[in-house]
Amino acid sequence: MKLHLPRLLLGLTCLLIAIWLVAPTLVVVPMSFAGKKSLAFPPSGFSLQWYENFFTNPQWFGSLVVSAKVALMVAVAATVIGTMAAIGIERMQSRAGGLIRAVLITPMIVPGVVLAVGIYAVYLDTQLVGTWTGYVLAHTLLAIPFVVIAVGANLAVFDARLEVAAASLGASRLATFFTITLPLILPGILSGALFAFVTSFDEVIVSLFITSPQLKTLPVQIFSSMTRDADPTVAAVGSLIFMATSLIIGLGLIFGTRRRGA
Amino acid sequence: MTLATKGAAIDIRGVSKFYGNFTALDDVSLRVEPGEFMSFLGPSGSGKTTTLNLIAGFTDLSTGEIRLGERSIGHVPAHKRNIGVVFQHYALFPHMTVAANVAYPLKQRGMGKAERAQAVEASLRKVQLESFAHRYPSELSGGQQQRVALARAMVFNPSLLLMDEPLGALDKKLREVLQLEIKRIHRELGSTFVYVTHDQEEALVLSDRIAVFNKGRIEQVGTGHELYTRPQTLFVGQFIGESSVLRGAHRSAGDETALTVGGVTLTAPGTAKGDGPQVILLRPEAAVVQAPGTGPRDGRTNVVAGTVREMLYLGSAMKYEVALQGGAHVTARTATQGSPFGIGSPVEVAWNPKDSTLLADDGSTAAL
Repeated sequence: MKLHLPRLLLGLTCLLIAIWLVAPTLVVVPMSFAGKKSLAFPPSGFSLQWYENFFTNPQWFGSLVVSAKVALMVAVAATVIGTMAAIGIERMQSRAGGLIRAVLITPMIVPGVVLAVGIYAVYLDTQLVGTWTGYVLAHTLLAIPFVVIAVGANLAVFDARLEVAAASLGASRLATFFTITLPLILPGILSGALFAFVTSFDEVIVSLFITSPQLKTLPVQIFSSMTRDADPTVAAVGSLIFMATSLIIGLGLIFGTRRRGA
Repeated sequence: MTLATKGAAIDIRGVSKFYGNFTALDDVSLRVEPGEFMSFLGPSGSGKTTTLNLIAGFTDLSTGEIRLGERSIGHVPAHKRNIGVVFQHYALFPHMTVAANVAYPLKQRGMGKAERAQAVEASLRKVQLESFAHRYPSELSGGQQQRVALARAMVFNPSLLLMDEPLGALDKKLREVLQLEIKRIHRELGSTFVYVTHDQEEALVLSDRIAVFNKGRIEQVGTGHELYTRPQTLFVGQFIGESSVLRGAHRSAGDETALTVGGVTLTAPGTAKGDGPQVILLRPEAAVVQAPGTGPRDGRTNVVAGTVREMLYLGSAMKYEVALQGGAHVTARTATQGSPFGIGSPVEVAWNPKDSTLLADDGSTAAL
């Protein structure tokens, strides 16, 4: 018994922490099936009307489409720029590489509100508020650090001597990049792209500043809906996103382990 | 189908390489004949790998010219030189199968699929790995990986094959097996081989000729036999094979030079090399250990008394380490006959002056 008590306590502590971490997310799910227009927990009644509202109300569904499109463009732009930057920094002989890396990563460290104010001020002058370009530019800025870090970590373990070997075998710099370097750092690039997508899809602070009634991303729509009234559609959106991300991560884990096993 | 091609000559003319203030290679000139197996031998930092990198095009030339056959390649990018390279660390592409690795240089040259498959198979057969074509490098042992690297480097019939300590990461047994294999492949291909190593035994076993590098310069180029029997510098004499070095004041007379070592006058063939101090280089097999008082015999006119400090029984021979009067010491290897001298016994070391070499003292020590 003496041995069992500490183990029991450890298990209990872990369980409590797990509940604490997951509960806020799970609470949203029952609320999304609420019968009445209130965000009370536990909800009373049952209905699918909030899901219906999300898919039929152009305010809601439109903002999802905007968010998805912006996030996709950001993922592509940030991945290309971030990957090139990471490779450039890795190959730099001088110490300036560390400095450039620090500068590239600042958007991750600077408080979002500070960045948002700066971006908003510039956008007012250049009339980028509420535009596609505005969203993509701002979100790419925020997403690049994630790509630089993910690709940089992969490059640190990449054996650059393989590129020398490729050259000796007749491959030009460009051919070497596409046949040797790229395939070997692809895991870093893909995880960087995923981070970039999520960063944009999830972004609310900067988006709140540069939004317009005509062009709203989903997080902005959720935020403004919450401040106006208690609309359980928010819970429906939350549940859908929760399901989608669980699915993506689950698939990623399955494929990830399968590839390692091969 | 035969893959045999004619090797090309390499002409290195007045090549130097500077890294800032550091001179990695200092005005080196060297010619490697077509089809020759040449080793670059030297301690680390001697410039041998730098020279190889300059030939391969991995490093930019500071001054001088490099010609491969009729072509000046000093400023041609590495991927256009058509030189095969085998690296110490194998450098196989981990995301490709063995077959894809070997096919890589052919693919870069735009060879058709059917022709490519045939060439890959032939190359893998040469290194006896045809049944491993569909494995990944991580599934092979170190020796197998290096064989794949060899197959990959020769599949495109380069007229020159460079090897940078290719067996450095392997254990002794495997090294010996692969040495024989490399020798056989060199014979079959007929390409020029340049082999970088710091292992003098490996260089002696493999090479037609050896270039001995030291401090960014070439000390001597020659066959293993020439380097062993007629070293031109003390560094070469000590780097190749075992030797004893005797230092003392010298005086040349006629075609002989006398050195006073610990009070005993010893002669060596030839006149003093340069103005500086001279040394006598003595190979262990040239020295005979004999009972004290035996004196000069059979032309062995250099006789020094000493004490046995170390004695090793090698089966066919005995190896003695003898401390001479005056502080110098000599290593001697003699055939086992009669009862050997024990440690501490007084002995005489004798040798024929013709079997020793007089060299300028360049400050080299055997500690490498």
